[in-house]
Amino acid sequence: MGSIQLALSELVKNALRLTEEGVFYAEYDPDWRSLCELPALETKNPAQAPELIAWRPVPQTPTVDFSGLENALETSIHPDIVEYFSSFWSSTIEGKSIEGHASLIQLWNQEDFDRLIENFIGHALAKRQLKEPLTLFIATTEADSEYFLSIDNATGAVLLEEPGRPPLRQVEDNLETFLRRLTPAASQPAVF
Amino acid sequence: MDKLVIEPINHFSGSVNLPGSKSLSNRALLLAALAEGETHLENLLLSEDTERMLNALSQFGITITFINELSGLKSDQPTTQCIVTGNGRLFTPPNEGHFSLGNAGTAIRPLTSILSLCPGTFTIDGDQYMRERPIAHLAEALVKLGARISYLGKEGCPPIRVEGGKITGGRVSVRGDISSQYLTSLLMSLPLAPQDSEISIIGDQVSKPYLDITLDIMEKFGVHATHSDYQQFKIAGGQQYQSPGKYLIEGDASSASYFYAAGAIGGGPVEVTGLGSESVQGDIAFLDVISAMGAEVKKTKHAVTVSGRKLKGVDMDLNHIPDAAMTIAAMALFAEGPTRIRNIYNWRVKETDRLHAMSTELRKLGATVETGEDFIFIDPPAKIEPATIDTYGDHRIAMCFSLAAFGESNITINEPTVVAKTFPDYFELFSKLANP
Repeated sequence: MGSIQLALSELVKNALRLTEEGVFYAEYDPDWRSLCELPALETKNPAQAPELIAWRPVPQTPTVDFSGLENALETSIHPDIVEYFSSFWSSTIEGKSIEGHASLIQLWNQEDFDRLIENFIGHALAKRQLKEPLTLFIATTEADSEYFLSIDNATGAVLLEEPGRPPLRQVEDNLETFLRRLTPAASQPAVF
Repeated sequence: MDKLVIEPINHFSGSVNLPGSKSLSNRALLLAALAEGETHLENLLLSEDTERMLNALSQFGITITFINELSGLKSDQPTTQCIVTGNGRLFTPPNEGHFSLGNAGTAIRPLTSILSLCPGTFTIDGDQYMRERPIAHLAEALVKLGARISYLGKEGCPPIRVEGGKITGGRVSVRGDISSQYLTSLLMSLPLAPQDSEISIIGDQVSKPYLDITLDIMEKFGVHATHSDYQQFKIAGGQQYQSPGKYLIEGDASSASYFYAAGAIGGGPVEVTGLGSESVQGDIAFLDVISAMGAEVKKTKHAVTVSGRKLKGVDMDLNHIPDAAMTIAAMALFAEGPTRIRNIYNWRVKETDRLHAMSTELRKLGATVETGEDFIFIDPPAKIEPATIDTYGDHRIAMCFSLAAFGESNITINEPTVVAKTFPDYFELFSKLANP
């Protein structure tokens, strides 16, 4: 396991400790399945099925392949970004730091990866138009905010950005250090 | 690197109008479009967010006529004044309509709620950034109230498919730290549902000032919602928005604070039009703080005039005005005696570590600064040192350190273009009122 995957794994472990049953729940969608979904039997509360599905991040084997994006952009993708998105099949992981909330974008399934790549290409083209260095996003911030966190593809630094503008500031030197200083944010529902 | 040198300013006076705030501009456009009658909107902000809202409203068949501010005649280009011919009821968007709202958060959120009420099936989409940003909490609340919403891409994110017209009203409970824009969009749309609705808040409501702004504009457009201490909102169904005739879109009160402060330090009088005594924005409380520091403040309905000269330091809890509190920190440079600003932990969660940034830059000017987890203490220098101020990509730092030029030294602002986000012509306006 690489250092990014380890740091993510630690965060997930801590987040699961905050849950009652050691699992996360997501809305069940027959058209949007993931290898990280758990069989209904494992949940202690079968009454919640079938609307909700229990899930827990599982390592990707085989992992997603970034060579298509690398060919499209004619550049190599920073290994930290590749490792970050190749670590787990998982839904968004909620974390927080002294600066605020971070919703870590993760991949639910292969289709989610294809979708992410389309959005990466849109973002990369916007960066080219602005004549700015390539970054790729890894997380969104507070729900009301348009800010997002990205990785500088050349240096691996974690940046705070908003769409269509140069990065606001560097948040951390590298992704592993950033992930290590996140604490899990409550994943209880917001709507009842 | 871009730099702006501000030469020493001795006196500051004149009049300035503030552009309308982004969130109020889109709220006003939406309610005017839903209202019965024509609404003359003044001081509209022209930005990507308002452009997206205008596009969507025209897809709903709403007519918006722009008026040239100088000639008073019809304009082909968007201007800050327009007449919105309201629909007088919910929109009737084309069935299977597709609405692309780019990255305009202040358009996508309220329109998702409104479209959930309109009969028909619609697709709401955003750009590559919006497609990664969950809208699930808002969608869940709408589903709880009867809407049918499905995700066409990533679960929880746009694009979404909305089967509208199924919400009749009802009850929903949401956590108090849910996005204030989500809650705003529910509050603005539910009066149009046929039956009554109730929103219960679980835990502390964190964005009261924003909700006050929403409730105020709804009231001005003739629709009522009540709340008991922000814990339970009751919204009668079957209501109809009514045009108030004219509606002035207030300027952003925290942007106004730099001009108020400059009037207080540089003598004034400085008249700021675009918001006044009737303002519902929390940051207007900044005026109470500068009064306590010794500034003279006069308010009329649509303007505030500030004069002053001799200021004294204060010790205050400014948790309720975190943005404008930064302006107080810069004003402290010109006060007699030290200033302590307390309970400002929320500075840290903004885009920059503002507590660290403010103390670093204030020290460059010669001030003695102490900071703790949630306070800043500023002892002003006998003389402001010439300094180059870093802006950390934060528009508010750039604007509040323009005030340092009231010393006898040149102040250089690095990357002054960060102000483009909320106030592109800030430095131009500031220099018009400044006299050497």
